[in-house]
Amino acid sequence: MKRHNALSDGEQLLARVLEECLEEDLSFVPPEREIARKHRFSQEFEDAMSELLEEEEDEDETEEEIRRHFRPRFVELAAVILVFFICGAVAMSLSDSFFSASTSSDTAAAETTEAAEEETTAETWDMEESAEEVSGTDAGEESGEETTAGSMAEYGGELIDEASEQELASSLDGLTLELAYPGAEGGNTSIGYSLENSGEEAVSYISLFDLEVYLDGLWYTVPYVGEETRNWASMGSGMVLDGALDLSAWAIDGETHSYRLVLQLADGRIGAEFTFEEAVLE
Amino acid sequence: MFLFLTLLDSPGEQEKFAEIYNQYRHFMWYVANQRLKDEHLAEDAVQEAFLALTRHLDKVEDVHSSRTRNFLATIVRSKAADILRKSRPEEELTEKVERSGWEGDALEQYLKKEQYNALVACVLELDDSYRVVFEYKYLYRMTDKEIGDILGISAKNVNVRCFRARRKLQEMLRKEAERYEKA
Repeated sequence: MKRHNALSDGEQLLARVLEECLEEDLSFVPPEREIARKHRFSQEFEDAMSELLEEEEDEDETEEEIRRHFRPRFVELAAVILVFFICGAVAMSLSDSFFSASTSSDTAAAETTEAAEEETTAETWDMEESAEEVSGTDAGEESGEETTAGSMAEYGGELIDEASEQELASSLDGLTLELAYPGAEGGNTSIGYSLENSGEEAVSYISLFDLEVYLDGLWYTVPYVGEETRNWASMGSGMVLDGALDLSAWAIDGETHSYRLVLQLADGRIGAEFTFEEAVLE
Repeated sequence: MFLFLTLLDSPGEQEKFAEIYNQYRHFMWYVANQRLKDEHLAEDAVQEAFLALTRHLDKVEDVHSSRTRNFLATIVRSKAADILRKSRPEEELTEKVERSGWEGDALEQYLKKEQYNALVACVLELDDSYRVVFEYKYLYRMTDKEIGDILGISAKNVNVRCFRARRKLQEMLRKEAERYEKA
């Protein structure tokens, strides 16, 4: 039960008395089975209830359901964005102070930016106990062995890394990722997505998607050039989150390729494929 | 009574609801029938209670716990009280409180351990319309808004009803104390 205002001593006593009285009242109620033996619900009651139960099983995408789902989704989206920005700002300020302190190496500007992003990721991941266990991410690349063996491919004039996993499902732990064409914002580089947690428990995921491109039979990670940082977010059971991504936040080359959006969960990754034409032309 | 379970958001909630329905429907009917003395009206109260439950399923943590059983009893009793009240509109409960000796909301001064037995006796005597409001508020710690949602009244009216319930209980406790002093 939810708690709100604290009860006074008198009210606590009253609560105790209420509970005792309720228990006393209910102590005279026979067991469920015994009542069931003596009483049969009317056909009208049974019909109404069974009809409602069947309706519930059949209900998938009713207008009412969609409407009910959308309201909390927007609130949740707003909350995720807010947390995202706050964590991003904290992480960036931490990484800035770190880099200003270590002046020993003059790395190239691009490398510094990348390192800062990775540092931000690591900082963010430190906030989660399970961060170290998660594989196949930028943080994993920083210290792990999984991705070091991966090949590289030329894309948009740059060498990009092979994705940490080649085979991905679109659903894991009850969380399903689906894409919509065109993007919900209608922009020619935006793509709409829908995340749905149909499981019974909340699912944690990193709010920033990865974009991967399919080149010569393998998936490669497209560098992210946007300003958002990687933060853990959580989606409650039964929740659906709709959103749109601007693909210009990744260093896409504008050529025709197959892509997939990848989402990192605590236990693995999920992805959904699309082609560039689908995202920009429709 | 429409779209009962379609109001539930997730399969988990739907499963929980179905489990509650299967386990407690006869119990709830019995509790309602104790109050209403009418099998069909008791069924109506059960349906109304399940409808209200769809909006407050988060209050049920363990389907098989006694707390859940008590909570369902409270809901169905409040629905039964509602049916009774509608069937006897002339008996407006709020007017039953005697005005004499009323000194504002001083219930707190009667809620003492020494008064425990008197308090038990008064709560058992208290009309269900008032008692369920106390139970929602103090036992299940629900907000006025949540209680109003179950009772089908506004949060403000819940506050009013709660005030009247406190006043009624205070009056009963005062009389009980007087009787004890005389004895």
